[in-house]
Amino acid sequence: MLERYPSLRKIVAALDDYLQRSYSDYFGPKATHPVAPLKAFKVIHDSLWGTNRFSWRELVLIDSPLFQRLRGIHQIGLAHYVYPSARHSRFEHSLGVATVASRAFDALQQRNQRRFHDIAYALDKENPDDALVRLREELRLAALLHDTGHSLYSHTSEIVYSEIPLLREAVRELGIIVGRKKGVGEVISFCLSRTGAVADLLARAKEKLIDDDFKKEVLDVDLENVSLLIVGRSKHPYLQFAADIISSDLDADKLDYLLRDAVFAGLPLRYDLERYLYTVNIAEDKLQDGDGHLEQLYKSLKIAADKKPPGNGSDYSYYESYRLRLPHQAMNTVEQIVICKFMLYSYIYHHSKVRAAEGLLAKLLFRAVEHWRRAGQEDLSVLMHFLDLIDGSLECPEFRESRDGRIVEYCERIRKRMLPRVVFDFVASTSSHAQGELLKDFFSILIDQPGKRDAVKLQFEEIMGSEILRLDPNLAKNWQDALWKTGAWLDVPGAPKFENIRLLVGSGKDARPLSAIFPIEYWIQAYEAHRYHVRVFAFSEYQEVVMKAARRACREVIKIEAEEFYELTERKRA
Amino acid sequence: MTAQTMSLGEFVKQLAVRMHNSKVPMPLKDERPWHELLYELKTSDFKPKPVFLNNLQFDWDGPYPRSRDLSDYIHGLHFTGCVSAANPSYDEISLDENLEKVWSSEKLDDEVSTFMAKVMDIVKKEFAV
Repeated sequence: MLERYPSLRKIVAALDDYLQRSYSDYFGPKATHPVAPLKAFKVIHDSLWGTNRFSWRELVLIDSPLFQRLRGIHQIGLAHYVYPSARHSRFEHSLGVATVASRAFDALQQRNQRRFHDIAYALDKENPDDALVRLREELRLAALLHDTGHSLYSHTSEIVYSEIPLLREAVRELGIIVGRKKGVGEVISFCLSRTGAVADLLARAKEKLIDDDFKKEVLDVDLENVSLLIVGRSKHPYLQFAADIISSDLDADKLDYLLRDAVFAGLPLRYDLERYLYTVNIAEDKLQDGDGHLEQLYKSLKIAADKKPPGNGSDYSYYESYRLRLPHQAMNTVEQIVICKFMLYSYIYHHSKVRAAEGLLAKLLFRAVEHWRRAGQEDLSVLMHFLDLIDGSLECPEFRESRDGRIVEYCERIRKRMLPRVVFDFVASTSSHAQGELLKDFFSILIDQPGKRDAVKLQFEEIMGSEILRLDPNLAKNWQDALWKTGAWLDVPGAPKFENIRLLVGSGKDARPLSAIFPIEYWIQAYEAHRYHVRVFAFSEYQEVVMKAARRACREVIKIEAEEFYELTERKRA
Repeated sequence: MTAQTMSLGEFVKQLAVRMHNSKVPMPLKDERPWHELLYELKTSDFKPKPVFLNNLQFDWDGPYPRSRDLSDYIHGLHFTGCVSAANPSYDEISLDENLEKVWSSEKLDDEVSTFMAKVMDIVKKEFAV
């Protein structure tokens, strides 16, 4: 499958080598684990989803260092600086996703027994029941492995390592293979699941099963399908519904993290999973393939899937498929999920202190990468360096005792929660002043990515840094140092997205866009206009000088002169 | 602005200005015409063509090819108040008059102007349904 994709192949090979080198007792020729004989299954209790059963194969992965390191990565980064109890990790989240994914699969199977049999028969005419058992296990393994590519403080470090050129190229290549754009974290998880190290571990574990009779009945799983499920595809178009369970807009990942983040942060936000499971269904659909990505994929997998020419209501060539669908009876749950997502963005992910802490950390990590590069580390070494890091690494000498005083300072500030504060706060609703169109134009550039966003942000920060230096020449040697010293930057968060929600509501003749049932667009506009903040941050001790400097940057970049604007946006301490 | 430097956002803004001036409705609820237009432009032999089109990636996950970057940008314009959808059914978006003046003051080179004129010919046929 990866023959024509050199970056992905390179990363898989490097990860294979990394796992065998870093954890030689689990992966590679000298591996000794699993040591003890294995039971067919065990149960694990979760605070959200109760007591759940995990198979021997899943437990072997869970017990491996590849998965155990997720215990050390907080699910929502530095949000515990604002919500002290939000200390849940990617570990329990990944277990939760496996549980929710298989509950959704079981609900679908129960509701569609004949259809499931037909799907399974198309995959394996001799043993259709085995095909379904295998698929369920592959689904759970994909759920378990979907976040293994994360590094310290989850999405904050992802911002930094997503700049690695080799990973950018890998993202592009994977986009061609699966016909959809995926994030860097998913690309790494996809590559990890394809390593020989993981396959060997599972093969070795099978020999350790206690019960010989059970061993004879064990079905092999297709790790290629596991890797595809992680990125929202599958080895056959009929199985697209399973991929939707793992990676879509209402996937098991979202169903777990929305509730887990809310519960652990202590926010009274809920949605009704039972109703979701009661209503979720599959429907026949067309998997469009105008560019031929899927045709290439299925050919490389030697899958005999029948590609249809355009027609029959489709403008593009397509494969017949089954997709996850929510009927109109599920609208209550969909609304709850949408509200829950909005609220979590506003309350947690975009909270000013969370953004401040994560902004500091991102700056620290970008600087650390500069040092690694200067020391001769190539793209792959930088990636492996990130895989060595977990949240606790911030306590390690690499950062706390760095030779670079700036890294030490930012590290201490994060550890002691000496975070920057907001000195300017732009919200779309503040554009109602006399020169509101200039602020709107500024926003239209900041949301243009990839585009002029980075250049305009740099221009703003350069003017701000230069002005800080003009106001206090003793503060630093150049504008970049002035920004670093004062902790000043322009913070532009991403907005919540609902990429494909329209495709997942309704089925058959009743299929309608979600917006036809409730006005999601209006919700987004009304909500985001008041909740989407672009901010200027600065350390408390430099608040005054940064405020003056940011005012100049606003005048030069946004071109706003109206005093009313500054009264609305400046955040002065009373 | 040249074909080399034009970004997706700048293209959408220039298109919005021309659609606003030509009174061509700008759909919001149904994004399909936007995505199909961009897909057509990406796969067409138009010369000259802005470079950003070559790098635009489309997801094959529904009834039409869909660019996530385009979708994000249109929605971004919406929630930052650059465009509004204050009609009862949120079918269409409208552009702020003052913002239209700011965006239309952007200088385009001849190649980009010619390209935008060709795009408007398509848009008038395909969006005005």
